[in-house]
Amino acid sequence: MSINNSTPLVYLVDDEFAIRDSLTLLIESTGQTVRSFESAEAFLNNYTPDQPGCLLLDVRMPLMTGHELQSELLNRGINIPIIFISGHADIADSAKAFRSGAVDFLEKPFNNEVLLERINEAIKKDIAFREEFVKKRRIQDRIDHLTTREKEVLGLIVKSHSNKESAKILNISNRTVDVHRASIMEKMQAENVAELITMVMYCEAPNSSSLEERFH
Amino acid sequence: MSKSPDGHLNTESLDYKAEALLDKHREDIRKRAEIMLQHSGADIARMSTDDIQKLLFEFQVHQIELKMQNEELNRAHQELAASRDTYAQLYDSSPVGHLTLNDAGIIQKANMAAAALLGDSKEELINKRLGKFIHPSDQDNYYLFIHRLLAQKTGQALNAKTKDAENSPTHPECKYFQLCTDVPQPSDKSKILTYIECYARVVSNDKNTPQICLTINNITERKQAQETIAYLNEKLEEKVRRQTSELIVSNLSLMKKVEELRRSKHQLLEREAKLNSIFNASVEGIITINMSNIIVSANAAVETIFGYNPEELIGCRINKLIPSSPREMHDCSEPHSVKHIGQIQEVEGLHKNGFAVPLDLSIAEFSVDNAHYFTHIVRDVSIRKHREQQDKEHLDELAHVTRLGLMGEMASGIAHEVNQPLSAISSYTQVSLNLINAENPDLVNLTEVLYKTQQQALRAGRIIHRMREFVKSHAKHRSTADINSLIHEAVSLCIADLKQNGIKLTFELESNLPPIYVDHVQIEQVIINLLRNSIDALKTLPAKQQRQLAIHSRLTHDNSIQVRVKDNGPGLDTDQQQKILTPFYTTKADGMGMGLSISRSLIEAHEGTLHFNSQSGKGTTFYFILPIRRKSDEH
Repeated sequence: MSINNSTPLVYLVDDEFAIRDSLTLLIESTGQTVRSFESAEAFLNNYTPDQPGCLLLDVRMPLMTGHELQSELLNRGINIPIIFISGHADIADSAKAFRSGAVDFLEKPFNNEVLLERINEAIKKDIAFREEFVKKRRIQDRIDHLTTREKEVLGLIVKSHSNKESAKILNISNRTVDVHRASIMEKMQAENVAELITMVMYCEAPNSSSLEERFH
Repeated sequence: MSKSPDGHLNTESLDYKAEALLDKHREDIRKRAEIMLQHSGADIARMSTDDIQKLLFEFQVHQIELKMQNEELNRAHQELAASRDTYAQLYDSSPVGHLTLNDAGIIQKANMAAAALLGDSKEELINKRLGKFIHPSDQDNYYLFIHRLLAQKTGQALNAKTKDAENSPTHPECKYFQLCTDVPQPSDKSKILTYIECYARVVSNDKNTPQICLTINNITERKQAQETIAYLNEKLEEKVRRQTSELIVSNLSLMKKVEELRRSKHQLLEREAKLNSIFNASVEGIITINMSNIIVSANAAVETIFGYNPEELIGCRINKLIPSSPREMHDCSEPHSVKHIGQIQEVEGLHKNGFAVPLDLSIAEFSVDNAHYFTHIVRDVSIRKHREQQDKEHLDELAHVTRLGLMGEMASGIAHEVNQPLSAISSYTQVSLNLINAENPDLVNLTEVLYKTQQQALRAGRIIHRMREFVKSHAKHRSTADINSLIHEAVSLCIADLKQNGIKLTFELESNLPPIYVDHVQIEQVIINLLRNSIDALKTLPAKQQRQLAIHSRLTHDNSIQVRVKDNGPGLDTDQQQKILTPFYTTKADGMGMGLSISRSLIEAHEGTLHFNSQSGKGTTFYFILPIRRKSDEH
C-alpha cells in the first residue's frame, strides 16, 4: 500500500439534499474538499481508501441506514473516522454508534463551529492513524525480510535474552548468534538494540488511533 | 164359459171338459134307468099286462124324456162348439200375443198376434224354442224367468186354471215381465229390436206336465216412446241441470262481484278517509301544483312548515315556497322532462317570515284528463339536520382528539423533519457569514446561499403549518380537493417515520383524477392513520427483510376514487381481521385502538367506504373509496 499525500476528503452521506448542499458549502468554505452521497450504497460504490478523510453520516436513511453502513465499513476493514449527524438523536442511537467506533455524534441542527472542529480532529486522527499504520507497515516489511532463524533470534532479543542464552536456547554457537544479530540490526535499520526492541514492540502493539482511544 | 181378457182358456181344454160332462151325464142317465128298472118290477114275466102296459108307458115317457134330454144335450153341445169357435176366433184375432210353452220352453201353441210379433207364421213357430227369439242381452233374464216360473209355480198349476187367475193375488210372480226380441223386419234387413211384455202363468195339462201360458204385448213403441221420453227427459234434465249450474255459477260470480263492488266501494271510502286523514294529519307538507306551477291544493302541515295557511297558498306559484323547486327549473311546457320525479332531494324552502327551511322534497306526477299535476311532498328536516350536525360534530371532536393523539405519536418524527431544514439553515447562514467576512465578499454566491436559506426556512414553516393545521380544531368545511395532493401532504407528515424505519415508499398515483369534495384534514388523517398502521406493521419485520409500502390512487369503473395503502408486513390473522375495525381493538402495545374505527367513521361521513385485505405473512392492504363530486352537487 502506497502512501498518498493528497488533501484529505470529507465524505458526506445524507439523503436530504438541503443538508448535503448546505454542509458542502460550509465545509468547503473552510478549504476542505467534500464528496457527498445521497445514500450509503452510493458511498460504498465510490469510496477509495487511498486518501485520508472522515465521514459525515446521517443516521436515518431509506434502505441502508447510517448504522448499517458503519458495520459494513468495519466488515470491510475500512477505518475511516465517522461523525454521525442525526435529526433526532436518542441515547440508544448514539450509544450504538460510539460502541461501533464512531468518533462523534452530532444532533441537527448543530453548531457549525463544533462540526468543523470535529471534522478537523477526525481528519487529523485519520492522518495520524494512517502514518502510524504506514510506520508499522514499514517495520513489518523489514521483519518480513528476515530469515526464519533471524526471526527466532529477534524474538529472543526482544525478550531480553543475551547472545549466550540465545545460543544455548537455539543450540547454536555464540558466533553464529553474533552473525545473525548483525544481520538483523542491518535489515531492521536499527542503530542499537534498544531501538530494535522499540520498533518490534511498536509494531506488535494495537493501533493507537484505533477504537477505544478515539472516544474519551 | 167366459173368455178371460187374458185368454188362458183354450179350445182343447174346453172340448175336454164338455165331453167329460157329456159322458158323465150319459152314465148318470143309464144308471138311473137301470135303478128305475129294478124298482119297477124286477121281472117282466111275472108282471101283469097292466103292469107291463104301465111299464111300457113309463118306458115311452122315459124315452121321450131321454129324447128331450138328448136334444138338450145336443143343443148344449152346439152352443159349446159355437162358443169354442168364438173362443178360437178370439184367440187368434186377439191383438195380444198368446203362446203356450212346454216346460222345456218350446212353443206348443201360438196365436196370430204372437206369430206376427215373433215374425214367423203360427205353424212355423210350433216346436221352436222361444229362447231363440230372445235378444242375446235378455237371454239370461229370460231363462231365469222361465226357471223361476217353473220352480215356483208347479204346485199352483191348477189354480191357474181358474177364471180369474191373472187377477188372483195368489199369482203375484206371474205378473208383468219384460223381454226383448229381435225380429228381423221384412222390409229391411237391419234388425230392429222389438220390445215385448210377457205375462206368464204355469198350468198343468191333462198329462200333468206343466205348461207355460204366455201373454205377449208389443211394447216397442211404448218402449221407444218411453226411451225417447226418457232420453228427452234426460236431455232436458241435463240441460236444466247445466243451465241451473250455469245459473248458479253466474249467480255466484255476480254475488261475488256485488260483494267485491261493495268491498271496493268500502275500501275506496276507507281509503279516501284514510288519505284524507293522512293528507290532513301528515307532518309532511303536501302541495299539488298544475302544469303552470300554480298551487292547486295544500294540506295543513304546510302551515307549520312555511307559515302560510293552505287557503292563502291556492293560486300562488310554487316558487313562493320552494324557490329552487326542480319544477321551476324546467320548461313548464315539457312536463315529461322532469328528472326529479320519485327521488328525494334536499332543497331549501322559504318560510313566510323569510328564513330558510331545510327540506326533503319528493315529487310525484299524476294526470287527470290530460292535465298533469305534480304533488310535492316536503319534510322539514331542520331537526334531522341539527342531529346530523351534532353527530358530525361528535365525529369531528373525536377525530380531533385522535388527531392530537396521532400527532403525539408522530411528534418525534416531525421534529426530525423540522430539524432537517433548520440544520440546513444553520449551515447556510454560517456559509453566508463566512462569505460576508471575506475580504471580497462574493455577492452572487451569497445571494444564492441566502435564497437557499430562505427556502429551507419556508420549508420548516410549511411543516409546522401543516402540523398545526392537522392538529387544530379547525372550522369544519368541505371543499374540492385533489386526492393525490392529500396523499402527498399526509406522506410528508410521515416521511421521518418511513425513513427512520428504512421503509421504501412507492407511489402509484393516477394522474388527472376528478376532484373530490371533502374535509381535507380528515381525509389526510385517514391516510396518515393507514400509513402509520403500515409503518408499525413493517417495524416488526426482521431488519434484513425489505420493508415496502405503496400508495395507489385510481378512478374506479363506477366513478369513485379509490386509495390503497399496501404494505408487505406480517399481515393480520383471521381473528385480527374480524376485530381490526372495532373501536379500542389494537395489536400495538401502546395503541389506543381508535385509529381505524375513526378512519372508517370519517370515510363513511364522506359517503365512502373503508375496507382491507390481509394475508397473514404476506401483508395488508387498506383501501377506501370516496365518491367523486357530482355535477348535481354543484348548485
